[in-house]
Order: sequence, then structure tokens, then C-alpha cells
Amino acid sequence: MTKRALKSALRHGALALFTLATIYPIVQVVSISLRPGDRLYTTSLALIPEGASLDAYHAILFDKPFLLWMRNSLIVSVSVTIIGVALAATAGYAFARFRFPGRGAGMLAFLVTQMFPATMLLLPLFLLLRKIGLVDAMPGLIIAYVATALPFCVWTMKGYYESIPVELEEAAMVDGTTRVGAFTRVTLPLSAPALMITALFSFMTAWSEFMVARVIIQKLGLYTLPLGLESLAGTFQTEWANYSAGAILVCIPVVALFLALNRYLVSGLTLGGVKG
Amino acid sequence: MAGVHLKGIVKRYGKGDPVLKGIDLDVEESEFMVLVGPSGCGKSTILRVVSGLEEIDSGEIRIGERVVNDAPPRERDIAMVFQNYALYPHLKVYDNIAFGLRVRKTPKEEIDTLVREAAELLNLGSMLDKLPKELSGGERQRVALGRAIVRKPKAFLFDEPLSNLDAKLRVQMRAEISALHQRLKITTLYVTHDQVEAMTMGERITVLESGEIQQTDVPMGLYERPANRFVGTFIGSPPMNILDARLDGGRLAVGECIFSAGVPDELRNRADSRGFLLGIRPEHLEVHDRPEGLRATIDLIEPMGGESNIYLSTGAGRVVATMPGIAVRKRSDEVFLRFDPAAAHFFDSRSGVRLGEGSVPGRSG
Ligand SMILES: Nc1ncnc2c1ncn2[C@@H]1O[C@H](COP(=O)(O)OP(=O)(O)OP(=O)(O)O)[C@@H](O)[C@H]1O
Ligand SMILES: [Mg+2]
Repeated sequence: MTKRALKSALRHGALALFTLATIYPIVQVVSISLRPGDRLYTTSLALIPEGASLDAYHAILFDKPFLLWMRNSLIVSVSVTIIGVALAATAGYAFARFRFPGRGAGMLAFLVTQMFPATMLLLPLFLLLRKIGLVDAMPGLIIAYVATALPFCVWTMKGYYESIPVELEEAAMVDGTTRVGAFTRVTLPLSAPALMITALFSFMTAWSEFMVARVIIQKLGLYTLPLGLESLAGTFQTEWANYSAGAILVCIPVVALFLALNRYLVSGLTLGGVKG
Repeated sequence: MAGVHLKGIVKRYGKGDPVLKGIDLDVEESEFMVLVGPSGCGKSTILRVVSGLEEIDSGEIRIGERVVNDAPPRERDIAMVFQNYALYPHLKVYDNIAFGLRVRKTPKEEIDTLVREAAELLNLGSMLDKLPKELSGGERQRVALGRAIVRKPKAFLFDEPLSNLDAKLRVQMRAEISALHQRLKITTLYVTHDQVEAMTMGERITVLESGEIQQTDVPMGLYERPANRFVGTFIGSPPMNILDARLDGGRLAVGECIFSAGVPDELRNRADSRGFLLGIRPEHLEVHDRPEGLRATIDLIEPMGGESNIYLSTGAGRVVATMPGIAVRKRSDEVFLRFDPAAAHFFDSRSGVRLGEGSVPGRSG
């Protein structure tokens, strides 16, 4: 074997190992969700267990308030996405293109909030929401998520805008647009990759979040998917098959979203470094 | 269409010295005015101020009859061609050209007619469906031109539109832009730092340096009567030679050489024997072997094809001479330089201001 082939083999070997480590738990969950009864532990190594059935999926979809949780999660996540993208797109633009008092401090503040673990922000966030009476309400949860997602989104948008030549907007304004027109007709369409990243990040922040939701939401009717799933893990007994089936169902929209946006994500993540 | 008139324009960025220090400039209706000057002298700033992308600190900008000091760019009805083209990358050529019309809510059929007309004029017909990134530099430049002309604006502003093109394409586009102007007669303010571009394209040229206008004149006017040392050396290639000169018993003296003829009255009247500067263009310097004139040593010969540039050292400084044909001399040759004082320019040695030229009546041999 040549040296190069060896290197390549090693590299692929290492990557395969990581991939395996990532995939194994997921495969396990799929496998558990298909098992009849609630057998968490089994000696069988078969991926598709003996007597595999979709009973658990049926149970979770129709015997549990899964669809309600799904609806709540969708409302929260989509709202967070829309509000987050709208705010990040405009705030990022201001930071990228204008010089104003507090600009540096603002950017820094955004960065600093990213350094605290989310749990640390939980208490102040809770107190704030209680002051404005939004505890145990969907808008409260939405505000909390937007606040968590925004710093990253604003930084992403700012960085992307800065890679777009100002001349394009100037050309548009000389061509007859207002400043806002130049933004919506030229800058925004060119920022599609960054908008996608921002949207996806906002959505994910809300979709799979548990801690904040646990603290803010108490009403059963307002449970989001992570809260609902957790409620399946009972104190004395856990319905493992149902739990797993639920987890898989929760993942599907996210996976679909990633696949759909794949193209933008790759180009978006490598952005910022390249001008032009 | 309309003239563009600047009066006493002062522009500062931040708190520093002004970048434009009182610009008075009149581009008449249908005129092709070239604005030329070294890098950083404020050329782009003037265009940005005229287009409204930059606000002024004082002065007045008039486009046609309207004072536009406070008007946003969209209300000034001018078109600008940027150095890097600034084509909208996400729009096809057609949509790039149509952009300004759409923004102005022109009816669809009219847009189509106008865009195709412009494309025809610029030979872009086959490229309307392409994206900017699929075009060559010259084609992009033409799209940028198309975007400018399609609106039939009051005036064109060009900011070094050819500097990203290779030499051959530059010459070609130079001719195309000139031809376009002949045809459309739209008032144009064209910025370049290339004096050849300025001389070949401008109906009039304004020379700018450090935010101040040095001179505005027709090309040959600048060449023959530069208002100061800066203009003298900036216009012309290779640049005008500048030598220290003085009056010796009323006669012109350069280095060890004293001339008998042609000193302008302004110089003769200077009672003191203070020195001044003599400017002489390379093509007016004659290199020969007879011991007459300035003694010089050849440092370098650049054959240019039809002519040669000869760089020499003299007792009064280093100079360059242009000779037709291929030079028969070589490096280190000892030669003599002669010139007709009537072809010389004289500048004040401190301010650099023009003092007069070789006495025109006595212009002989
Ligand atoms: N946005 C800005 N902020 C601060 N200073 C600026 C700004 N834009 C330009 N300047 C300064 O103003 C001066 C004139 O700049 P300008 O771009 O007009 O020069 P120019 O003549 O177009 O030069 P070039 O030939 O290199 O394009 C320069 O000294 C430049 O540093
Ligand atoms: Mg410039």
C-alpha cells in the first residue's frame, strides 16, 4: 500500500468510527420503537427485532396527546423562526452598515450572552417573564427562545452582510430605490444562505429545547414535544417503545428540513471568508 | 439632460482635514468632462457627492436647474458606473439592465423595448439570459453601461470604469464609450487616474490634486499651457522634465548652460536672481553629439517601437527625452541636450504656479 492510500484509509477509518458512534444510538432508538412490549434491554442484536410492529407509533399518535404537543411545538418554533429571522436580518444590517453610538458595545453584549450557559439565564428570564405576566403562556416561551437564538443569528447576518459589497446597494439607490428598497431588492436576496442558517438555527433552538420550556410552561395543554415526551417517562414505569417512537417522530421534521436546506447550509457555513 | 454644476463644495470624512476643499466645477449640458488626478485626491468623492451617496459640508450642487444638495440619490436622476461594475449578482443581464426602470414603475412593454434597444446598442443581445458571473470583464462592463444608458438619465458618472480591464480591452472600451457619448450626447463626468484616458476621451479635462482643482481646460490646453508644475508633470507621458533654472545677466541658464534667446517678460521682470523651474517635455529635448547645450549621460534606453525613451543624468538633474525611431546610442554614452526655450514652461519654484512660457514671438529654430 502506498503512503497516500494508507493515509486515506486511516482518515476514512476514523471518520467511519465517528459516524458509527453518532448513528448507533439512533439505530437503537429505532429498534426499541419497533419492539413489541416495553423491552428496553434485550440480548438480541437484530436491528429489526423479532415480531417488530408499529404499535408504538400508533399508540403515541392516537392514544397520547402527541398531535397537540406537535401543534404547540410548531406554533412556537415557527413563530420563533419568523420573529428571529426578521429581527436578525434587520439588526444585523444595522450593525454591518451603520456607525452609531453603542454599536461596539451592542455587538459585544451579544457575544457575551453566548458565553453563559443557558441554564444560568433561566432564572433572570423567568423573573422577567413573570413581571410581564407571560409565564405559562406561549408568547413567553417564544420570547425566551427568540432571546436565546438572536445573538448567534445577528452575528451571522452581520458577518454575511459585510461580505456583500456596499456598491451593490449604492448602485441600487442611484438606480432609483430607497435605502429600504436597496435592502429588500438587492441585499436580502443575496443573503439567502445566511437567512437559511438563521432560520434553521432559530427553529432548532425552539424545537428541541427542554429546560426553558420545563420552567416556563406548566399547563398540560401548552406542552411542547420535548415536555410531552418527557412526561411519557413516568416516575415508576416508562413506556420505552412509545417514548422512542415519539423521539423518532420528533426528529423527522428536523431531518427533512436539513435535507431540504442542505444546499444552502453548505454554502452558508463556508461563507463570510470569501468576499465578492 | 442637464449640466452638472458644483460650487464651493467642501466635504469632510469625520473630523479630519476636508477631502474636498472647495470644488468649483461646471460640466455643461452634453459635455464629456474627464476628472483626472492621482490616487486619493478625491475623484470618487466628487462623484459620490454628485450622486448623493455622500453628503456635503458646504457648497451647492446643481443638476440642470435644480439644486440637489438635500435630494437623495433616487431623485437626482443620474446614472453611475462603478469601478467594479456593481452588477447585481442574483439578477440576469436583462434584469440588471431593467432594474432601474422597474424601480421607477415603467410599464412592462416599455421596459422590454428599452432594454432590448440598449442591449442592441452594446452588443449584449445574446447575453440577456446570463448571470453576471458568466460574463467576461468586458461584457460585464458593457452591462454596467447598459444599466446606465437605459434610463436616459440627466447625467452619467463613471468611476474608473476601465481600470479592471486588460490593456487591449481598455483601448477598445475607451473608443466604445466615446462613440456612445457621440451618439447619446448625455452629460458625462468621467473619473480616471490615467492621463492617456483623460487626453483621449475628454472634451474638457479637470485636474484634481489633494481635493483642489488645479486646472480645467480642453486636452491640448492642459498640455500646452499647464497652470502649474503639477499639471505639467501629470499630463503627458513620459512626464514633463522639471529642471532648476535661473537668470544669468538677463539670460536663461540651466546647469552650466546659458541660453541666448527667449525669456518671457514675467521672468525678465523678476529683479532678483532667485531661481525658478523650467519644464520641458521629453519630445522637445534633442539628444545630439555636438558640444552644445546641457552635458548629459545616458542611464537607460527604453525602445517603445516607434520611438525610444532615453533617460539621462545632467548637472541640473535627471531627465527623459523621447526620440523617434530606435536609438543608436547606448548606456553611459556622453551626449548633449538641446531644446528650444520657446517650447519650455516656467514655474515658480515655491508655489509651482506657471510664470509664462518661452517667448512666443521669438519662437524660432
Ligand atoms: N468613507 C471614508 N471615510 C474616511 N475617509 C475616506 C472615505 N472615503 C474616502 N476617504 C478619504 O478621502 C480621500 C479621497 O478619497 P477618494 O476615494 O475620493 O479618492 P480617489 O481620488 O477616488 O482615489 P482612487 O484613484 O484611489 O480611487 C482619501 O484620502 C481617502 O482616504
Ligand atoms: Mg476612486
